[in-house]
Amino acid sequence: MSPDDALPSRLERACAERGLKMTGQRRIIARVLSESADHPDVEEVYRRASAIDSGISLATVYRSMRLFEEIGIIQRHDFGDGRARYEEARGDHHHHLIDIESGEVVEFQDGELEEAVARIARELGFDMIGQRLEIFGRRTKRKGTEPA
Amino acid sequence: MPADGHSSDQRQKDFAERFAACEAAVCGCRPIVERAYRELVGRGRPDRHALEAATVVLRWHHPELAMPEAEQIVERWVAGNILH
Repeated sequence: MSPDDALPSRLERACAERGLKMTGQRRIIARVLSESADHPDVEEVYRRASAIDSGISLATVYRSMRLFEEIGIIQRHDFGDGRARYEEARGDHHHHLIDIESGEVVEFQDGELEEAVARIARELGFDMIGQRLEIFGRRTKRKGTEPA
Repeated sequence: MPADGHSSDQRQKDFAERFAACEAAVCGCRPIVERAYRELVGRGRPDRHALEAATVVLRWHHPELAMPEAEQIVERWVAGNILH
């Protein structure tokens, strides 16, 4: 069965929803990532993809994965072994608050914020394909203490 | 002489001095900037986004740095972690 005959993987559908043009090789790379139960690095994705299509180059895998990462459908992890590893992005969407005095990064989610952002895009006549919010701040109180 | 009264040699020298101060972590901002970058990448943010955020952190500590200078410093500090 060729990649074109198979049912689209979750990642392929996510790419299509974001309007990304899917070439045959990009489709194979998306499928390899969708079917991975582990967190493969780029070289491992290349090995798995080239087992399906020997014409896929490592450069194509790098480019495709960077693109997938940029549009937020795969997520990079650093497990401290010096290799970037990837998995399909979680369905939930996180934002980050960055403490400028310590560099600590606090992850947060907010349903109302998501709705507000989607509404703003809609009202401005856009289909939102992604968003990015980083809050920079300084702690006003220590962790675990209540305001006076 | 340029309109601002500074030669390009002088500007280079000024930048080198500021850069050296940051490199030596005189003010202690370097581990903070590196931590912000490392934690963002560890949470799955793309390199470019993490670099931009870390540059904002550096510029809060050093508002005198122009954006391109600050970016250069951050890229240099975190270069070992960037995926090429």
